[in-house]
Amino acid sequence: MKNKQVTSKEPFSWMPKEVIAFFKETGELTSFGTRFFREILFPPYEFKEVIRQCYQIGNKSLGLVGVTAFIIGLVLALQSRPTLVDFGAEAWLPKMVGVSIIREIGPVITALICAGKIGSSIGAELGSMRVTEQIDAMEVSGTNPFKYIVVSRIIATTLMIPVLVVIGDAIALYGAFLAVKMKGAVSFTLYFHQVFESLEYSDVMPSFIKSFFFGFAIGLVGCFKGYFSKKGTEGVGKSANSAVVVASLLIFIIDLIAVQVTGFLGLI
Amino acid sequence: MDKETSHRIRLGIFIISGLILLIVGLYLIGSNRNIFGRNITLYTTFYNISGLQVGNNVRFSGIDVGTVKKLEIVNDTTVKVTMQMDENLTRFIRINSVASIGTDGLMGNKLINIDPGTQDAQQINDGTTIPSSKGVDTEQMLRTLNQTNQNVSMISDDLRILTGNINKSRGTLYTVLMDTTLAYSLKHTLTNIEVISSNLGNFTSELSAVVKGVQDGQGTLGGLLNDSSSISKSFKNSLVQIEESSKNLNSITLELKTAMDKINSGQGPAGVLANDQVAAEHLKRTLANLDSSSANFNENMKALQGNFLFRKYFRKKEGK
Repeated sequence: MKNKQVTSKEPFSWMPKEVIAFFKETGELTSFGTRFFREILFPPYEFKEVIRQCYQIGNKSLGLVGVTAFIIGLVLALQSRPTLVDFGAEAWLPKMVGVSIIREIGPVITALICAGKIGSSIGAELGSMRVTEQIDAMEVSGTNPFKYIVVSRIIATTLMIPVLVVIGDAIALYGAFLAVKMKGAVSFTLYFHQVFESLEYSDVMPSFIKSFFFGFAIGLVGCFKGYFSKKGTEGVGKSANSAVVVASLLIFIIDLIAVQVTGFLGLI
Repeated sequence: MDKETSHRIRLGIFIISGLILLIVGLYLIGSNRNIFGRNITLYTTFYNISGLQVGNNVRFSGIDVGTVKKLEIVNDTTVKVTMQMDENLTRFIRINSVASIGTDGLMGNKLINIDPGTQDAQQINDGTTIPSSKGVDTEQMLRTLNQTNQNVSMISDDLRILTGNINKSRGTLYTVLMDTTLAYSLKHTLTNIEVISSNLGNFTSELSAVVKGVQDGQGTLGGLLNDSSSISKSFKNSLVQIEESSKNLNSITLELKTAMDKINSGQGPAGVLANDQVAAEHLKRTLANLDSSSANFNENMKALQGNFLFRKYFRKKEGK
């Protein structure tokens, strides 16, 4: 009877539990992000930790991103070629591949790969720190765990994902060149001349800028899921898993918003 | 070197490589758009820019030399196009160079083609306005091509119907086209024609020899045509007499015609007899009366012969 009275007084009690949980998590994530911006403005700054995280996130992901980008570029060129050959537009292959990689495929694929690798890694790392009460110990010892653990990682992902995207784009374009070269006599000079002839700043800059948002989303979600991990070791796995899922979803949502904003600014 | 330093060096290499790639990429894109070089501005005007956009290429002698910077509607018949191009090219472009709107390939982007002017004309400067001409309008070309396609389609339809009819009818044309023996017959006919032609050639050559003989006075005909002696004279006289007879015959015919005309028009007794029905009827009755009168007279004469007053006379006459 007492419980019933309490429940009836709770707001949004008419909503399904899943919807309430969704909104609650969204609110907490926003609050977490707001706290990040608040913490970043004031010292102390953990530069060493930021650089360490940059190395862990950037350098350690380069191999995976490079291989993935190379294969994506190669496959994209090989798959696109027959259709263009049907239209007698084989000469347009470098242009098409260039625009596709720089505008969309490069940033999104790199971000998704990083969401899988880095997001899960951060979620699991922070989750295990939470369940082993290391974060609580830091709070007790007077160190700001948010600044040391969360801010450094989010900054690192925000800075490193764009660098990975640029390198990934270059590797993907090289992979596409090899595919074009395999099927036809196109020199390296001609291929890259055609690629850059078709590109504009309006192709490069939006994709470069949105990769910062991708990096921020990956770091934020990974840290959020790990920082608030619960239920012991089981929660660590869940945090890692949900960090990947939510970060991937956010990447697509950011991509959707980015394309709308780019269109609104007349850059498409 | 400790582990941390090694990590930092690797991170530095990683970030610098990313930055270098980004800068090189941006530079390559910018150099394609003449962003980093010294540029000049050229102007031209068009009646219709056919979908030209800011950023489209400007081509001089087939080389990309600049980009379209601005499009501005001056009035309802004029669009002003501002072009930006490499300053080093000013020595090649003259003030009478002509700009036209073209297309990069059949389906490519629009661009401005600048044709070289004449060498005696002055070089362009920053801010020069060059003349323009109407380029090839792809849409117009496609419209014409579409019309041509429709015509070809109609012709092919007609041809299909025609061939169908030829197939169905199995008429002369079908036979001509499909009968394999016809070719042999045709060949045979042509052989015959060739033989005839050969014979005709021989015949004409012989005829030519005959004519030559006649001209030379050989044979009877040659003698007739060429001999000025008695035969010829008598022949000429005969011809003169025939001519006179012909004239007489002609005058007789004319007179006969005049007489016939009179008869037909009812003039004279013959005309009355021929044309007047009433007179003919009177004549017929008169003849009938005359016939009956002569019969009666004959009877009277026979009666007179038996009469005693004239019997002696008639006997005397029979006695003579």
